[in-house]
Amino acid sequence: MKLNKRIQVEPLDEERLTNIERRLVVAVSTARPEAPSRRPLAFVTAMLAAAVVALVAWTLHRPAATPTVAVDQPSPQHVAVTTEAEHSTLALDDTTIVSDPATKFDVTRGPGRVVIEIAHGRLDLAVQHRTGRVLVIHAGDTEIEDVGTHFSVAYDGTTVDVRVTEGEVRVTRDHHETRVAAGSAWTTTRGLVALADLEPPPPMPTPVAVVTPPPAPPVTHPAPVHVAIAPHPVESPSPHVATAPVDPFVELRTAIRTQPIAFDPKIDGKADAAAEIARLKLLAYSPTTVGDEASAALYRIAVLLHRPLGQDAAALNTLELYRRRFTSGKERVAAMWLRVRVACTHSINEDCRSAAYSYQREVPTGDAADVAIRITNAQ
Amino acid sequence: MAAAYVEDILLVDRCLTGEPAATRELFRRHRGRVHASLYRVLGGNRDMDDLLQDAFLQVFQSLRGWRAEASLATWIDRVAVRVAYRYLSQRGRRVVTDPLADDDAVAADDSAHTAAGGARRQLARDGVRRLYDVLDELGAASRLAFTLHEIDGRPLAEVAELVGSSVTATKLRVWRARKRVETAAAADPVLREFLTEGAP
Repeated sequence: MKLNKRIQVEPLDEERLTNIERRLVVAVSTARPEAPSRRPLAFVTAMLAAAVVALVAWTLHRPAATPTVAVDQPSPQHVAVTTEAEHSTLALDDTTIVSDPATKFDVTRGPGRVVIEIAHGRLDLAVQHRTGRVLVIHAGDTEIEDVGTHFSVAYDGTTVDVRVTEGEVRVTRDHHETRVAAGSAWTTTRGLVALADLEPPPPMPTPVAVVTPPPAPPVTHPAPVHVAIAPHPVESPSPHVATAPVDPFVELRTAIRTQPIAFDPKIDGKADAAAEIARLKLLAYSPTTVGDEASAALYRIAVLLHRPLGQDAAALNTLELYRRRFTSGKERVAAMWLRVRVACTHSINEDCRSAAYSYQREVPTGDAADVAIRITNAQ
Repeated sequence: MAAAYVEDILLVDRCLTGEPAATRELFRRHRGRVHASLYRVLGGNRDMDDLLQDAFLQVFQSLRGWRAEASLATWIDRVAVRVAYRYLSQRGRRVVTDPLADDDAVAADDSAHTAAGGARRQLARDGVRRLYDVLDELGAASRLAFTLHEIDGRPLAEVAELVGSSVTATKLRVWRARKRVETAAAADPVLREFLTEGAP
């Protein structure tokens, strides 16, 4: 009986394959829904009410020249922000938006989509890319879509200036799409250019006003609510002025940072780190490199991406790669802790807790394990 | 080989970040082989699009679980075999064949060829159809083992790995299935001729 390869396979036509491919891309992109917030709705409501009370108190006793951050919120899904003489930070679930003084922008949060409309000014965004969630910025007739990233957008009413320091964004104007990668910039007048060719933007000091909008609610059109949250004046604090919320995880984050990074190459300069990564990549991905050497190289790449380069998304990807390739690599435990440290850098969220939980299961005792347990239990 | 391995790792890494281009690339790289295997296991049938889609959907959903211990192709094949196994189990063994792939296409095709060549192709198609009729009577595990080894041409050890059995159990399943096909061929001249003929 000789049947090997004798059954002729009738190929699927291109149209059917394209349809399958399209359905797969859609299914994959919607496969990871947003993790539900762990914060109880009541807590958010209470915070909102407190903010309203603080606003009223602050409005009644506002000094004449106090800088303001006004949050006009017609519905909980829509936030309008105007910063007059202050930098401000708007913290969404996985996105941090720092705005320059005199910047006006709107944020509309829908299911799987966040749209930011800049009227004028400059925004600096740190966006954790999430499958199934699109973040789009409109500046005049230009559309900027994040692909996981740290970038800034400035718009003065006529010219748009997009500068990418990490990851990649997609800029669309007049139906023409341009992908702007880290180290590049795009402006209305000059198109795609190297970041180094542009004048550096004005420094963005640590913002003093923190605005935290409520999470996107399940209802579509609730009654409009108007909220304004005031920053705490730096020069002349007043008992009537609402203060920015205190980060409840400051101590936890400090505890994370005090744990040493094992096998740290200890390179502080960004250029040196980039050069070292290029060298390590040759080792990590070379077919002739032996296991230990390759695993050490891959781990060190992750360390350098995290510090000093601050490319945490890339660092997490590299650690995931390490986990899959080197299940018994000697840096395995160190890599697990590094994952905790990187995942928890910006917020104590589900990814952070998940990393901490994995670590504490693998290493149940020790200082780092204690920190991991505290992260896992953090609310 | 090592370069392909690293390439697979990097591609999976991109897929895990949700990059649509990576999803497309992975599908395009492996769709031909997966489709051919499903086709040889199940025969041409109306659900092939859904099966191919289902197989890749499961691949993407479980991609995080690929630990790069086996090659990506082997791992994807394993997922596809599970999809085929479930399909066979749920269908109660009998596969709904696609009539368009048989009779209509044959009629159109034959008019353009010589009578002898047409008759030979017709015989081959009849033989294939009768072979899969016999395979419909087998259990899912036996059918998988037989088709992956005898028709798809995979070594027994690889089939055993794909179906998650021992080599001995797989060999036994293939042997039983072959006996069943040979018994059917003894009573069916068309099937017998197809099995003893060279490639069409």
